[in-house]
Amino acid sequence: MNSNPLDPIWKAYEVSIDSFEIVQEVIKQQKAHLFTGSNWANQSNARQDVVATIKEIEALFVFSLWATFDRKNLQGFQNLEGFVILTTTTFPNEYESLAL
Amino acid sequence: MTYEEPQDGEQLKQRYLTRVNQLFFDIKNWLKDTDLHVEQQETQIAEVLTGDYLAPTLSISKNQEKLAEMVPIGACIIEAEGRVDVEGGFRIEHLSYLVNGGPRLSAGRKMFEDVDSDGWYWVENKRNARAAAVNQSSFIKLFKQASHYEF
Repeated sequence: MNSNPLDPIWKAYEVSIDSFEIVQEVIKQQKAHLFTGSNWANQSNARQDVVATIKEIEALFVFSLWATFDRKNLQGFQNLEGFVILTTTTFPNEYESLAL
Repeated sequence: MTYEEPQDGEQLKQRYLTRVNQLFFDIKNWLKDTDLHVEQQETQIAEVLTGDYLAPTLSISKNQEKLAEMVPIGACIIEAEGRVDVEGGFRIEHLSYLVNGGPRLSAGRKMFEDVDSDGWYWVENKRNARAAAVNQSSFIKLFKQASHYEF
């Protein structure tokens, strides 16, 4: 079993990008019936929307990789003997209002 | 990788723009014998260190249909001295300006074995990615991948 928590995110990214590529090919081949029931008014909009979505997806996956990596690090530190993570313990008085 | 003192924003910007212009000059040259139309335009970049500035873009089309656009992203990139995206109709590929052998992993191991000199590299968007130096051959390959255009 692979224990790298980043692998599923990478896999999801690659599948997403490949899927968008297939969608663009469908748009290019003008298979209009496949757009029935979608949110796109016409094929021109679909193409622009997919390109914009690829950019958005890239940013989201980078964020996901970073957040997962950070969480894994935090868990690793918490397992170290004598290491105290301030954010998981009580807040000093002056930060109580922020915590609420 | 040797550590270099951070330079001021104006220097970073000028160095980046010089490299982008050289890259675009090369691309125009590589495509000059094809029936593709290459048009240079401008885009605005905003970075904290450099401030706002204009950078050139390259739009590559055929018969009025845009196939891909080369879009400079910025000079201040993690582990690189600049990035240019190739936004094709099918994929977005990334070019990074790598120096001193590129990014290093633990124990000084190079992330990309093929980075042997400073320059523009096509860094693939996948696990176990490779970095290929940008030349006519690799550019044609990445352009085809991004646009599905067949020469």
